[in-house]
Amino acid sequence: MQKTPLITAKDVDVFYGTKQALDKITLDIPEHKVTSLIGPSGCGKTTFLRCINRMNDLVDICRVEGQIEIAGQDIYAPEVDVVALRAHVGMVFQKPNPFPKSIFDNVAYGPKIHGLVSTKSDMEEVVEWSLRKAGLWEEVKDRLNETGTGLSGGQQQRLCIARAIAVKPKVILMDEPCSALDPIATAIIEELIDELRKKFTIIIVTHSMQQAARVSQRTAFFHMGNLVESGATKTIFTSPQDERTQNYITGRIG
Amino acid sequence: MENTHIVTRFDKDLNEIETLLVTMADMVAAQIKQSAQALQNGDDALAKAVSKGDSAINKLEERIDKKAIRLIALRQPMAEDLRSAITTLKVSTSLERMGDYAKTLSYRVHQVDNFTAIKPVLRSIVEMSEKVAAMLDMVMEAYVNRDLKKAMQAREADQEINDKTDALFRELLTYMMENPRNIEPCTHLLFISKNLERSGDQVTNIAEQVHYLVTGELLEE
Repeated sequence: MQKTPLITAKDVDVFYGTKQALDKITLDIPEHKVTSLIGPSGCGKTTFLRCINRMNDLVDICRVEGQIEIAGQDIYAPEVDVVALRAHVGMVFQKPNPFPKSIFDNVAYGPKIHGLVSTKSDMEEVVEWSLRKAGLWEEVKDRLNETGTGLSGGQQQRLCIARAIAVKPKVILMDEPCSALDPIATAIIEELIDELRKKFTIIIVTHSMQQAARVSQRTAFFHMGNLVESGATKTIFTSPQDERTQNYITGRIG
Repeated sequence: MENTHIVTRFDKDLNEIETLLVTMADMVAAQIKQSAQALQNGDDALAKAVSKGDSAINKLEERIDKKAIRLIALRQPMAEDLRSAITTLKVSTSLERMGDYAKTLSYRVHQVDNFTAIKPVLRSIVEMSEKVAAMLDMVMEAYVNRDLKKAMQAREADQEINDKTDALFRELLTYMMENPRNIEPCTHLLFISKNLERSGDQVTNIAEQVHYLVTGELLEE
C-alpha cells in the first residue's frame, strides 16, 4: 500500500510576521487519494493548504520555512515558476468564484493563458472534457455562452472545479468547497471528488467531520499550528490515538 | 468520560443508555440466580416469576436499542462515542439472550422433580449459575469503568464454566446408563447446563465488546 507519496512536507514552519501559524509540519500526501485536513478554526489547516501551491507568497508578511516537494521537486526552490506550479496544483475555494465571463470562457481561460491548447477545436474538446469530468456538461452544454455567474451555487462550484481541472493539474486543493452549498449540491460535489481522485490527488479542508469521513481516505488533524495526528480516515474516526483528536471529532471540550 | 461534550444533551443521551444497560444486566443476573434456585428447591412459583420476568428484559432491550439508534441517527457519534453506541447495541443483544436462557431453565423446573440422584447435580447447576451471574457482574463493572483488565478476567473465567459443563455431561451420562428412567430428566439437565455454558459465552462476548470499546480493536478468537 505504501507507495512513494506524491507530496511530502517536511518540517514546515509558517510565520505571519512574528506569529507562528504552523510548527514543524511533516506530512506525506499519497497520490490518487483524497486527504482531508481537519481541525478547529485557526489551527493552520488552510495555511498548510495554501503552502502547497504557494498561495501564501501573496501575503507580504508570510514566511514559509521547511520543505515541500511535489513528485520530488522542491516547490520553494528559487528556480520554480510559481505560475506553472499553480497550473499543476489547482485550487477550489469556499465560495464559488467564476469569472464574470461565459461558461465556456471560464473553463477555457486556464488552458489559454498557459498555452496548452492552440486550435479552437482542441479548446472545445478540453472544455467539454473538463465540464464532463466536473459533472456539469449535461446541464450546461446548450448554454455555454451564458455567463457563469448565472448558474446555481452548486453548478458554479462545479464550474470552478472544471476550471481547475482544465489545465490537467496533478493536485487539486479544495478549501471548504461545500460550505456554501445545500446538501444535494454537497452530495454531488462529494460524489465528484471520489470520481476525480482517479485522475488527480485531492487535498480538502473541511469543517464537517462527516464530510471528511465520507470523502477522504486519509485524514490529518491540525490543532494550534501542530499536526496532531494523521492516518487512514477510518482509523481517525473510529479509534484516534491522540486525545486531542478524540476530543475534537467527538465534539468535546478539549 | 472525564471530558464532556459541548452539546450536553449528547452526554445525557449516552449516559442514559449506559445506565439502562447496567439495569438490564442486573435484571438478567437476578433471573439467572433465581431460575437456578427455583430448580434446586422445586419452586414452581419462583419458576413462573422468572419466566414472566423475561418480558421486562426484552422490553428494556428494545428501549436501549431504540435510544442507541436514535443517538446514531441524530448525533452521528464519532470515535469513542461511536464505539459506545455500537457496544450498547451488541451488549443488549447478549443480555437478552442470557435472559432467554434463564427463562428456558425455569420451564424445565418441574421436568426434573422425580429424579432420584438430583441433589449433587442440582448443586453443580446452582454453582454454575452463580458463577455465570458473578461473571456478568464482573464484566458489567469492567464496562462501566472501561476496565480492560477486569474484562479479560471475566473472559478467562468462562473456561471454568466450560470445564464444569464437561464434568456435568459425564456425570449425567453415567446416570442415564445406570437407569433408562433417568434419561428424560437428565436430558433436561443437559440442556440446562448447555444453556449456562452458552450464557458464559455471552459474557465472553460482552468482555470482547468492552475490549473494542476501550481500544477500538476487535479481539480475535
